[in-house]
Amino acid sequence: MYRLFTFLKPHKTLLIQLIIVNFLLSAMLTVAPLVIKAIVDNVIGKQQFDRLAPYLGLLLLVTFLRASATYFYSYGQNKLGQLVMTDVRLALYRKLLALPFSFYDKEQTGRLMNRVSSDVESTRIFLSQILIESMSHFLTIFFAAFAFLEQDRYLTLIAIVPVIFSGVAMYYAHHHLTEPWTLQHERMAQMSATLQDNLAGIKVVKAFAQEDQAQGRFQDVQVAVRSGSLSITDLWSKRWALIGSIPRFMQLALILVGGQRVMRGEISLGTLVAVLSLSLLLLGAVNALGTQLNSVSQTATAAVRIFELLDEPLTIQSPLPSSDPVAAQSLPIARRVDEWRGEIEYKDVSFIYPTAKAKTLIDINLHIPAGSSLAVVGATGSGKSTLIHLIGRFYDPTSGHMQVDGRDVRSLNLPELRRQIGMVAQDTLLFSASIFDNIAFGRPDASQAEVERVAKLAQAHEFITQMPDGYQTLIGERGAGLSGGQRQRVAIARAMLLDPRILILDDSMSAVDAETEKLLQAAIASVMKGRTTILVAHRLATAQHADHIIVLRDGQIVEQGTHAELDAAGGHYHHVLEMQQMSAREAVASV
Amino acid sequence: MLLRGIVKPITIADVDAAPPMRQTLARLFSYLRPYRRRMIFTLSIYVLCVTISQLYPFIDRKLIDEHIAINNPNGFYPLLALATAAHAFNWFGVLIRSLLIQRISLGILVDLRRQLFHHVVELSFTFHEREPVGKTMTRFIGDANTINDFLTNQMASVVNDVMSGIVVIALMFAINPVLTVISLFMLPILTLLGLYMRPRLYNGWERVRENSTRFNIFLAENIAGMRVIQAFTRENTNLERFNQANNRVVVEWMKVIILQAWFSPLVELTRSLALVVVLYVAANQLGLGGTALTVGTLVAFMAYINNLWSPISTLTNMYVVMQATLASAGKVFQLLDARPTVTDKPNAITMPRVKGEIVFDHVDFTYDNTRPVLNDVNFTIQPGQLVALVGQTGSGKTTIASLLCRFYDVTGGRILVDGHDVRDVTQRSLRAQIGVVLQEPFIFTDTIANNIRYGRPDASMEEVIAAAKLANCHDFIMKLTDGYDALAQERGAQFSIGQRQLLSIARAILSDPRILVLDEATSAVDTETEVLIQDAFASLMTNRTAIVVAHRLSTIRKADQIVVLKAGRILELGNHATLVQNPDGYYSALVRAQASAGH
Repeated sequence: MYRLFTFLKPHKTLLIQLIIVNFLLSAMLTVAPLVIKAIVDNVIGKQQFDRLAPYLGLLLLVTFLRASATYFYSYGQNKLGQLVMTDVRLALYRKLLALPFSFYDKEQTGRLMNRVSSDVESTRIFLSQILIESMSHFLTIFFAAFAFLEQDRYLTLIAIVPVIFSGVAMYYAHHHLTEPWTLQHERMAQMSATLQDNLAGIKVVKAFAQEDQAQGRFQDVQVAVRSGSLSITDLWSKRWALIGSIPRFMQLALILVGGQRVMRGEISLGTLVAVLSLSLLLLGAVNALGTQLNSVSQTATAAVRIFELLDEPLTIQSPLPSSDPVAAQSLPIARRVDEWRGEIEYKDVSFIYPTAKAKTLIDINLHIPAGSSLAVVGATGSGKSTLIHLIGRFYDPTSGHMQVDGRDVRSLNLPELRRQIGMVAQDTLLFSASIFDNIAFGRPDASQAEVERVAKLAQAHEFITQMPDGYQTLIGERGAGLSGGQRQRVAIARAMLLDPRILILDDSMSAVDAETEKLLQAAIASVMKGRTTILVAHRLATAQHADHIIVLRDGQIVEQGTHAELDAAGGHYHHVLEMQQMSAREAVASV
Repeated sequence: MLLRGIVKPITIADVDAAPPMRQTLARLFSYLRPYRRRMIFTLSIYVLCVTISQLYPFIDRKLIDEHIAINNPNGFYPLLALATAAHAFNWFGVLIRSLLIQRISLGILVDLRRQLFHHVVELSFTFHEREPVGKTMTRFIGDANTINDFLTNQMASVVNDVMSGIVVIALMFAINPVLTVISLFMLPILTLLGLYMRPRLYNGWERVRENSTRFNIFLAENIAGMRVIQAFTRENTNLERFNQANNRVVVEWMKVIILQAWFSPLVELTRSLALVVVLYVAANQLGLGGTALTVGTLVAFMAYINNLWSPISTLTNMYVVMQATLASAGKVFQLLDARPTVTDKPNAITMPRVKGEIVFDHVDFTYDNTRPVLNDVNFTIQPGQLVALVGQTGSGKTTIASLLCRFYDVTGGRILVDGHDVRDVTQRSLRAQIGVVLQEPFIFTDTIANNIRYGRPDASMEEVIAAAKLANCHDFIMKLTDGYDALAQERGAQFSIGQRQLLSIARAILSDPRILVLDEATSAVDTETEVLIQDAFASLMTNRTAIVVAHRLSTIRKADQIVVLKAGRILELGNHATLVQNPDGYYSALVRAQASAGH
């Protein structure tokens, strides 16, 4: 919680200015009742109406000063809030950019979004508003109580009980709602999630004729939201009706006792009038403080979540010269692009996902010479994708070493390493931007000619130019508007534009028809001449031209060699090849 | 100048050419109809409460002027007791009215959302393909809340404020008519100020909201696509974009704040000014004919001027609230008025148990009325046959599968299942007998078991496991820590596409369909697994009809019938043996291409 204040440090001057303005505001708040008192006693009481003007002038002056101070306060307070919010958001975003894949495997987009939006928002409100305003409420209470005591002690005693009671009731009213609100937020999130799920999966809902069930589920969650909301508002209504009724009861008590004292001549009528408005001032400040005390605990939980994220260990980052033992031996030296060769070596590499029961990769030893091509085949879930993600350090091996150009990847400058790798993931994620921007994603400064060149190589130019806006066609979220095969080709173009030393294709032609795939492969082969290519494939026809082929099974390399060697060995590869070719051979035989 | 400004800044409503305001409002209020009596009752309590509470300063004035100031204890205590009783009654009233209005409000919200959901799931594929999920979600959450808030809280506050204004002015008149008229002189200025500022503030906050939304979309996409950003080392570029998006929010925010920062002090000033003028006039007895300023009048007028100012502020804001509500209502009604393009006929019958004969009879289809997707497609499938659809991307294979399930209606010709035109039977009874595995597998955020039993929610765990074994997903499910009870993430993100496809296949198997449609259902699955699944299907599909969209020859050549499509027309039709007879045919070329690829 105290760490939160570090976000205020850069804006100290503004903060101090705001505190001073606030002090003035609270002081001026207590002036008005005293002026009214003077009017009642000195002007009306003595029936000297010609003396009214100076008091009215004073009243106007105070209002005017207060108005100007309020202007400065609300401007400054908002400015501070925006500055702080920008800082916190930026810190979080920087962190998110640096966190490894394993972090994103366990976190959901929605939850992360909440941190960056609502948790940051409550931090902003706390640091820029609540902090200063509670200070000013304290001051108001102090000034008003002082003025009150000055007026009459008996009446102070009368007012003190309801004021304290009200403040405490206010605190608990909010306090008791914290938990119900947390639960309610969860219910509302559940409702949105159900809605989102059913809308995104509407085709499945309809295909399985499950409209009624979907509706039933939605109705269930929204009725849960209603009853949660109702219990909260009921609780709140009861408390609020009580707290809201206190000021008037207090006023009546003050009139009762004060009236008696005025009639007995113990205090002036002006004192009673002043006390009536001072008591409201006091009550307001105490209630506000009661409310704000609560948000302190809420902000604390938000702050905890923010710092939790900021403290999330960066398990994968460029070596720091001082701390990393591996880096200490060989400091990362910036290399020119042409110095990268693209040689890859796995040394006793094993990997296990935190949520898995068994290792995904077991003791992998593999050497991929610079400029060669490797094909990885194996069943669904055999570890192919994990294997290729280790090269760009998207994950680090649990044990063993991963080397590029003869050096442990952990000793290399991370952005530079990744810039050598063109990656086409299995899940081709495109962004809602133009096709041009999507292809130029890794090199935003690329020219139209360069983008067109890679699009042609990726066999995407033709369908892009057939679209109404060509390269400027906007595509939707997750690449909506393009077919699976089209998306894959855009993703391949995006990787090719990087002109990478190492190109990795993770089953990225599965939705492309056979003819197009042939053209695509030829294009890749010509572009990647002398560069390292790794491709994951199910179709052995895709794999067979690779210099080296490995077969993975349950995280281990069970066979490796060239196409001819593996075919001859009569193992798993041969078996799958048989299966894939059998039908084709028979088919040809029957032609 | 002021007046011109009042009209100009309203730009919210003219975005969509909405139906006349009166009509939209009438429709809006129809949601209140089931709660009419309760609403009237609640509003009467509002009126009662506001009247009582506005009497307080009047009573205080009496207490001060007629008792305290002239030292007259006679009747002081009874009046005080009456005042206390009135307040206690008011307390009760405030409690009741807030309990009531919340119930009405939540009732309306639930009604509206249920109606929306019911409508949206009935809408056809055409709608859902066009409208982004986020947009439709906004109708349920933001817009529904705005409408509901207008119908209940805003209505109540209008009644409350109008009533409060009337009572206050009446009581002020009862105290002193001349002072009342004088104190009202600031009201027109306040009203103009409000009318001038409120729309500007509203529009300003709207711009803040828009920019925040854009910022949030940017952020959400960044988080979802973080892997790609890191793989392409785009961190610095995106950091820059982040700063730009954030700055836009900050700039718009500060613009509104500058407006707002002088608006509220200004309102405060007009109120003080009104009070000062009243006091001055009262003190100097300007044209008052004797009645001097008393302490009670001072206290009462201070309270009343205060009480008059806040309703004016809320009422001047009503115009803006109305605009916002009409905009939301317009969008919600537009959604509710969207008609499904595929509907059941009024006399549609329930599809009897399907035997599996399918006839495409001169079927034409177009999505957009300009580009024909299918052109005069004719073929007949006998019950129990396996049919393969073959052709390039975009040749119309998926469309044929979709038309059979009646996700769209044909634009020409007809489709018969067991002799029934698919348009003559109810959609649900038809689809309940067809198991579809769509090209893009969708996994719900639910347990694995519930995802598999999606089409038959009452299936037992044994059946779920049996289906999973047939679809070859049992092994990888068992490797998860929670097995079948493991929760799938959004869209099944933790599974590879191949695994998602296998889960979708298990789902289709469990639904026990009479007709099975597989649209490239195993494109991301390795060959071995695919062969295992095909064997499973072979035993499963005895006496059932299957339509398979596939690229791989191993699947195709087993088919009883092969439909080769090109640009929406049937190019070749027959089985493997007959089609390869024609060496110049598309199919023969395909076979040769795939065979040579293996060597």
